Amino acid sequence: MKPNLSVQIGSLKLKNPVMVASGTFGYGKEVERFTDVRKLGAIVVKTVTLKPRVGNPPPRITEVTAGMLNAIGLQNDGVDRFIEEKIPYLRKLGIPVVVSISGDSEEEWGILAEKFAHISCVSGIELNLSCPNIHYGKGIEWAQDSESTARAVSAVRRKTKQLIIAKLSPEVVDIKPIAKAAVEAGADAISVMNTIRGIVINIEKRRPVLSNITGGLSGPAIKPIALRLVWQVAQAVNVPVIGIGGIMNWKDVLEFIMAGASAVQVGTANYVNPRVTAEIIEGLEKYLKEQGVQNIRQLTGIAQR
Amino acid sequence: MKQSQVFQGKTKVIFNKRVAPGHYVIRLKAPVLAKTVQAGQFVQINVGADPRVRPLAGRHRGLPLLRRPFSILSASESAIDILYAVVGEGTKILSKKRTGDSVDVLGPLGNSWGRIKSERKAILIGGGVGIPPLFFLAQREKVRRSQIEVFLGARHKSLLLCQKEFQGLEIPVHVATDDGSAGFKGYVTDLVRRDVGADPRVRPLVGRHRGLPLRPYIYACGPESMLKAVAKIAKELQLGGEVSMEAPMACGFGICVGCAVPVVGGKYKLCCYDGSVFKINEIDWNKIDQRRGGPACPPAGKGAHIGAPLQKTFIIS
Repeated sequence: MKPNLSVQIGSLKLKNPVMVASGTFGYGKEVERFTDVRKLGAIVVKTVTLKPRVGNPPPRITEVTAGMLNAIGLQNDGVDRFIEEKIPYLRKLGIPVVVSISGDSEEEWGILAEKFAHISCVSGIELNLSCPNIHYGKGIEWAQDSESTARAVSAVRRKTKQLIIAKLSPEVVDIKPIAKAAVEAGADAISVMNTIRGIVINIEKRRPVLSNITGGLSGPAIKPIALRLVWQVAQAVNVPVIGIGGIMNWKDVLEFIMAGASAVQVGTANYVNPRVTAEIIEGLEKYLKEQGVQNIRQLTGIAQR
Repeated sequence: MKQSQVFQGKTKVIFNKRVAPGHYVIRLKAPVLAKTVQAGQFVQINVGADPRVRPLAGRHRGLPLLRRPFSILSASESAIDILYAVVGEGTKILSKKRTGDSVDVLGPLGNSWGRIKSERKAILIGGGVGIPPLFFLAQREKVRRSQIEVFLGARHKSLLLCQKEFQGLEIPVHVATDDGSAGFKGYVTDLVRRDVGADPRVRPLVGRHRGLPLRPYIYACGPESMLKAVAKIAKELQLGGEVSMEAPMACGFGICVGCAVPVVGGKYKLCCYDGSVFKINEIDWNKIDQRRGGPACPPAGKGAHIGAPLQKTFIIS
């Protein structure tokens, strides 16, 4: 019997738990010539902001042991051009589309949510509350305290009935109250984690390598931290948790699911192997078959029990 | 950009030989890739593990995570050749691959050089490992050889890449070395300025001469400082042209948005997706030197102007 990979995230049913992390898969079309995008449980597109952003000056990327730092700075053409130019392609895909948005004020979060509220192919909104590479008007990232997180989520909740995912930052003392605040404000799911800020110094030039000085660390190096956060958040809230951080293969996905995640997002691995998500889905299916597990949902949080 | 067929998979190493101090040519059996690749495009290679070292703990032991971008030296019916310099861990591992080993290749990626038009002279300017993609261009173009003029630069004569190969195509080659060990002593761009620009003896290179109706056109690849000097020359002499740029990149196909190249108008284009070949006047050259650390290079110093790594290989780790 074919094992059941489908999972439920709030109102949204995914045919499998494998999504791509925002900013690591473009808007889907860029990856089309390498892999069948339609195999994904859902596609999460690169973060959209109200106004266009040119992004940070180069260098934006550097590699470190078992990972990389990026400081792109949310380069995008703004929400209106996104809707005009990218939505038609995403609509044709026929898989759930999650739009990642980033607001600089409560008002902006609301306006962005409103723009997508009536676009039928958009199944969910992920709030990027935690981009480490931009300067928010309010000084700190939204996800760094419960109150700001709640305000942003509420602003979006007021404007849309769509699924709301709050993407949290690892750079907090205790993530549990922040996750709870997001849920109380109306989030249907929590995704953890965004990247962690790091620095690399070029010793020849005696300067930071990245023009932004800091960049978000991603890749296998951060996986244990992400697993710990998924574990904690799964204990704190009763909505689905989406695990993100350093997933390279199907075994990594199982770790996240066993730690308490209902679904996952694959990020940096897409850069190395644009077919990785398809390979992961196959790997999960094979594992379930071999283990006689009928339903992948049976494994969620199993390591905590 | 052209959405050509892209190959991803293991390729066998046919040979991997040293061609100059710290420089190697690796030939990979990749028929699909070899048939579709165009001059100026690049590939991303996952070098994997050092084949002679037993893995300690799989992929998490600090092997290079990302692919390394390389330009193409030439392509036959069934194989591609890559000329690369050993600049860091990734290229060091690559240099240890032997006949029969395999590496994972993704490509061809990026756009390609514009065709050489028969109405104008093509001036090819290359520095260090920026030379191979220019050789591929010269080799592929079915034009009269006398229509191409090549200027090559290196730190020392032993590092003058592809000189013999260009001569083998019967293309005139002008060389410059930092230490004067061969040809002109100084930067290749100064040689270009002398030969193409001010020197009355070779002045005919510019303008309506040698029966060609259009002004010469530049194709350049090399360190950024060299390309910046090329852009200055192009402006002074009012020549059009193209440059192949380099930027630290993670994916190589437009999704990480890491390899930003500043263009006129205050925006960025992606080296991997919009380039790596750009029109010279498309680039905002004033912003090129403002980079903080810049792509990791061997010790900067003055000598790094020419011969610094440009193979779309940016990491020293």
